[in-house]
Amino acid sequence: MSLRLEGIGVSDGIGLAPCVFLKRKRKYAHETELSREQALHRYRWALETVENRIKREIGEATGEDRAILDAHATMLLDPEYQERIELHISEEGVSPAYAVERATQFYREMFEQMDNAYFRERAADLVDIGDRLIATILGEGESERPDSAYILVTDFLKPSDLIGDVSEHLLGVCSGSGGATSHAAILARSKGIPCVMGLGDAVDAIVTGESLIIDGAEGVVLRHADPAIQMQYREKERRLSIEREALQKLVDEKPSTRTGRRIEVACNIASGADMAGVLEVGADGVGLFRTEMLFMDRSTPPSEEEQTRVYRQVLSEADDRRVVIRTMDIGGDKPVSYLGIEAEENPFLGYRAIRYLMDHPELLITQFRALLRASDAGNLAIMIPMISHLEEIRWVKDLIQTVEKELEREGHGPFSYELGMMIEVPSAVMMADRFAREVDFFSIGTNDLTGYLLAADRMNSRVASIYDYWDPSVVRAIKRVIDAGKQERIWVGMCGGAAGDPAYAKLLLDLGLDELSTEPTRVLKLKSIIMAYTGEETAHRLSRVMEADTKEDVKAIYGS
Amino acid sequence: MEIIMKNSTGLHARPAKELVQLCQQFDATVQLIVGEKKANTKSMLALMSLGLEEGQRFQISAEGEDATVAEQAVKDFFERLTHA
Repeated sequence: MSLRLEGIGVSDGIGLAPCVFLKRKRKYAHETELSREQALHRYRWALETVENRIKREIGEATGEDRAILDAHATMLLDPEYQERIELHISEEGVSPAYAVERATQFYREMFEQMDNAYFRERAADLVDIGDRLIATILGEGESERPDSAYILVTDFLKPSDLIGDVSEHLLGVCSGSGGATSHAAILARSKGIPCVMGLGDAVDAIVTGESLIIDGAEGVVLRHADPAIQMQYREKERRLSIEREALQKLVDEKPSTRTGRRIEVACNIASGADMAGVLEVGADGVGLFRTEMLFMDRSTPPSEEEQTRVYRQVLSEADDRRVVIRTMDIGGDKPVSYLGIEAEENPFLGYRAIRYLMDHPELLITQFRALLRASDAGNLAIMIPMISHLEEIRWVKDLIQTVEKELEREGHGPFSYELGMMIEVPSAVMMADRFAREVDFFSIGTNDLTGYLLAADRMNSRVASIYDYWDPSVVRAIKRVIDAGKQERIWVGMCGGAAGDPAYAKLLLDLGLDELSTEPTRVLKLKSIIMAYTGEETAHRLSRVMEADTKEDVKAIYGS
Repeated sequence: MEIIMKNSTGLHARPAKELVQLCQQFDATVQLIVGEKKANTKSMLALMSLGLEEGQRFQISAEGEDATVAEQAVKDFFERLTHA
């Protein structure tokens, strides 16, 4: 009887192989029966063992992997780190494993509090080293990776698990911890290894040697699959690899429909590190850079300098492709401690984004200054989220003009950029014809728009079935926005989840959308749909869509 | 001695590692001082915890037998460090 575990698919693809289980969350005593002398000896032995292993790995590594291992070796041998560990053992008499944990935790917290994202992320490297030391102290050694095909299972996936020449035999990764934005997930995607994370405690029951099937696109892991199911997945894997090869040929294509309409396929990103994936699939730049990640998980907002550096890097990597940077969409479901926004009963209808920023313009001024100063590095478009009134967008335009003048007085500029808004509030849909006269572009945020239109929270399982972007009301709203954009000759894009749905893309092409922004993994598929679009029977399909009563009617027209 | 950080990406892992390797050659204890924070140049973690970014100013102090040579070597290191 096959057993199905559900997690978060972070890297597409299918893998079938026996697994190797690496357990990370260990239980060990904080006290020790060893004398302090013996405990120190044990720790020093572990240090030497890990040092030798890392040195051997450095000898075998190349490029980026080698640079990371070099840094790991220097951190491991850091005199202050070692002194701290030894003090915990010799002064406090704790167990060697716990001494390492404490010292690692000390630096980890220090790094995690830093303003600069680069330095904050180094905390993960330190945890990696601490973990290797603890494993060695506990006599677990480090599992040798097999020489034949395998799937890696772990309760806690570390970046170093995916470093090195791992892709040849590694057919898949499943992890109890983590999610799509972790470094490990990014590495899995860049190396094309199917990966499912966030499986929770369910991974603990898996044993080394057991055969697993992992489906990265579905976010599913199957245990004890019977031969018929195994056959099914092998067949699916074969089909996918044929499709992947065909799609791979589209990387350099700038997609146009057969009617000659150039449609841009851009990507959604949340940090500079995501740019590698965008360039890899040959996307038309960035359709949504969510900047709130820069503001979260820290104790003070990022400085103008730090923001300028991040925006400049993304813009220059994108070269002449457009990068739509969305100003911070904070509040609501994305709380930021230092802003002092109180918890609200109804955050989605509450004090968030522009509503907060109009009362605290200094945050937006800093962000605008950074954006404008970075604008000479590439093709910048600035997007304002959560606009519900004309007054709000006019206020924003006044503010950015003031900032522009201020910067010019300081000797910067001239500046070249587009200013647009996200359409996600129903009032903005109803007033789209007026908004279209105020901005350079619209980008439809279908996730919130669908929720607001149907008054249904997709995270609430009892009403989640009401939430659906195929609903004819959502389609009519999108049509209204696109028509308003066409009237004023501004471009209209979409950056919500619906933009990545291949069946929905055809509907959006029928409606006349100019740009789709989605995850890098979906870009090539969307290119293929655009390039196959003939424009035949568009009018016929659209008239049926406008006649549709239910979401099933709409889905039937587009074969979803 | 006051120095300005020139490297556009700051004192990140690679230059910090190189600085540690440089200073291991000396007996002297060399410290970087940024405001109230001090870091031993033989400790990569301490150096990185300063979070030194482009344009930041800091002081160098050295103590020990070969302090003068060590201090000059560290100063030269930051002079060369423009792009890494």
